[in-house]
Amino acid sequence: MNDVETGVLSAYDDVYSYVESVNSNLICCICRTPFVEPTSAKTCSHTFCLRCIYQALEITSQCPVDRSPLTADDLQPAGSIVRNLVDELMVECPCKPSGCTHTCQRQHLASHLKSDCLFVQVSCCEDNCEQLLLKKDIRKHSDGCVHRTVTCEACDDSVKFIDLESHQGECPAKEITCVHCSSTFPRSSLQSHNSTCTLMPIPCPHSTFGCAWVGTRGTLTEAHLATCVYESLKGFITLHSAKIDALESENLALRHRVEELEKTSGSMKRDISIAKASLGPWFRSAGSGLPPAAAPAVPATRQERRRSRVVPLNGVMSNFADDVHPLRNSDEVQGHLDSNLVNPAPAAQFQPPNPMYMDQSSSLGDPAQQPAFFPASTHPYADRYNTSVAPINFNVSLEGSLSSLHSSMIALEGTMNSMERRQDIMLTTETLRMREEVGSLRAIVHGLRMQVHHVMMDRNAQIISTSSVSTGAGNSSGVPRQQQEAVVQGVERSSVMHYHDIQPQRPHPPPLPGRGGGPSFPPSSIFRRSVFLENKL
Amino acid sequence: MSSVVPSHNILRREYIELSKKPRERFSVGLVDESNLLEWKVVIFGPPDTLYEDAILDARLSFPPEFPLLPPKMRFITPMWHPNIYNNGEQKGEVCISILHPPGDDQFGYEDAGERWLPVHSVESILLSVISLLSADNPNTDSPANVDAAKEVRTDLRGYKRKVRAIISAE
Repeated sequence: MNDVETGVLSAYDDVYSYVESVNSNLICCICRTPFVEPTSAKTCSHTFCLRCIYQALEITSQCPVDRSPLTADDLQPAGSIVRNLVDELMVECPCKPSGCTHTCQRQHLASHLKSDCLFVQVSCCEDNCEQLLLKKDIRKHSDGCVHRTVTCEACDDSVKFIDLESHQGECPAKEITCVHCSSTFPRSSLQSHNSTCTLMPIPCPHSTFGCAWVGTRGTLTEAHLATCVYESLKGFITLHSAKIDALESENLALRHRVEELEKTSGSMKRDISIAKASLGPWFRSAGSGLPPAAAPAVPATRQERRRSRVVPLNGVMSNFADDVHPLRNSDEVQGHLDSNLVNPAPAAQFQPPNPMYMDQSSSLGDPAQQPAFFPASTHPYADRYNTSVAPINFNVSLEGSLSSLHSSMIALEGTMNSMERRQDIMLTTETLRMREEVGSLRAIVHGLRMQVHHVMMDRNAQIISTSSVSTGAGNSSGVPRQQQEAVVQGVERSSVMHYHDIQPQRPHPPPLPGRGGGPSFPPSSIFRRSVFLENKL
Repeated sequence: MSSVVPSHNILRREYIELSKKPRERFSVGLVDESNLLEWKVVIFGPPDTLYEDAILDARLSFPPEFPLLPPKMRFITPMWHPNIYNNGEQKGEVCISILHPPGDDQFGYEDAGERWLPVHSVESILLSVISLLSADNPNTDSPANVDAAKEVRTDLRGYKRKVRAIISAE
């Protein structure tokens, strides 16, 4: 059975190795070893190791022996008799394989391992030494441990034993010999010796300018410098190199500035392009001023006509009638601005709202010849359109201008509405008056007809009486009755047709019907109007 | 040293004990010397039963939580028994109540009192399996092999013949 006890099966664990066989009453039924920290159930009095029963209760809450319900709250340390019995069991030291033959009570094993046992594996106390040793061997080891600290005899520094050899090559206190002059000195003063050693070969101090001489320090001043061509030029070279240095630093500073400026101009370009994009048609470059006085004649004359029509109709509107006409051209805008602004800004700052005018101005080209800004007095249309423009201020933002345009539109709409209403009222009044006049004329005509009829009847009676006198009979004249009547009617019609001829003799003009709100006309004007209407009809 | 899995200590102790004192009815070994969780088991057929003189090869697979959770037992030798699976991935696995984890009422027809307890040992498991095989009239209440259970109920003689035939074929 040796194979069983080697390999994985002999691995050290925390299980005690008991010297004698243990009473089966002290065996935990879960781990089959004597109790460690014996714990009993209050309910069924079964006893287990503390760790065993806690692990078992994690799986299922019942007693592993009799399956009665059991929780961690039902557990308590076993009685002191049980605890003492298991604590006093004799165990072997777990270091037995290393050679420890110690046996003791189980409760004392921990202190034995901690302080007494010489067969416990410990690690060397030196840094970097990872060797594991038995406690009894540690003293022997540390005397010869390669990681132990030793003192350098020359410089008194603390050095690891393993590093001692490499330390010898760099110890500052070690005496070394100069390879040039064969003098000896400690390594720490090597630097200072090198700068003074007269036999050390050094290049000429002007080697950077091209002198190829190399010789010992001793011969430099005596032999070489007297003949070195660069020595005579020393002052000149120094001056120039200083100047070049200054120029280089200045150049560097300038380069920095250029870079900064480029950065700034780049960001400005970006800003401008963003602004351009957001302005859209409102943007125009600084050179191309405002559009010229290209006010088309047609809108202007139309405007005049319109005003002549409007003004007699509504004096109320005349205050803002001009304002409601939107931007006939930008010169008007200019004029308007002139009258409003105390300090008129240069025209280049104004952005005409209508892209159409941009096209005009660009097609005209040569913005320098084009007076971009017309003072109100010199403006060709200034007299006509002194304030006739929408209240647009180009100094404010696009949104502001748009909103002012919008308000102008609203005012315009209001004006249109009121004009419409007035037109309606006027038309209605005129129609009423016409109707009244026609009615009165009809009455007059009727009166005349009656008079003519009366005259004709008189005349007929005379004719009849004379004919009856001459012929003796009613119908002896040979004129049929119908014919007579036709004659009468024809006379009547002709008298109507020539009414104006007989009018002055008319004794009583028929009374005119009462007029509502219409203007009163003298009778003569009525007659003239009636004639006029009659002719027209 | 508490990092050692608890199951390793108890399994090592049981293994050493069973190896030192061989039992009459079975013998145990490790599938892999470095893995204490996989055991080889050879069961000698109990005398005066169907399995007399038979040598049955089986495997015991312990969970790391052993003994808190039960091991699984699987026959390598072909078996014909109502409580041993005969097909699928579980072929050869022994289905007895003491090898079912506690508390887990997986099948619904088992008394919780029959299931695994931490106090069971490898020896007690193997003795339970041997007594299962020794039973003259196998329990067919919760069969793992339905066909075998049906045969036990309808044709016990045929069942016994079949078992003998399988055993002797091996």
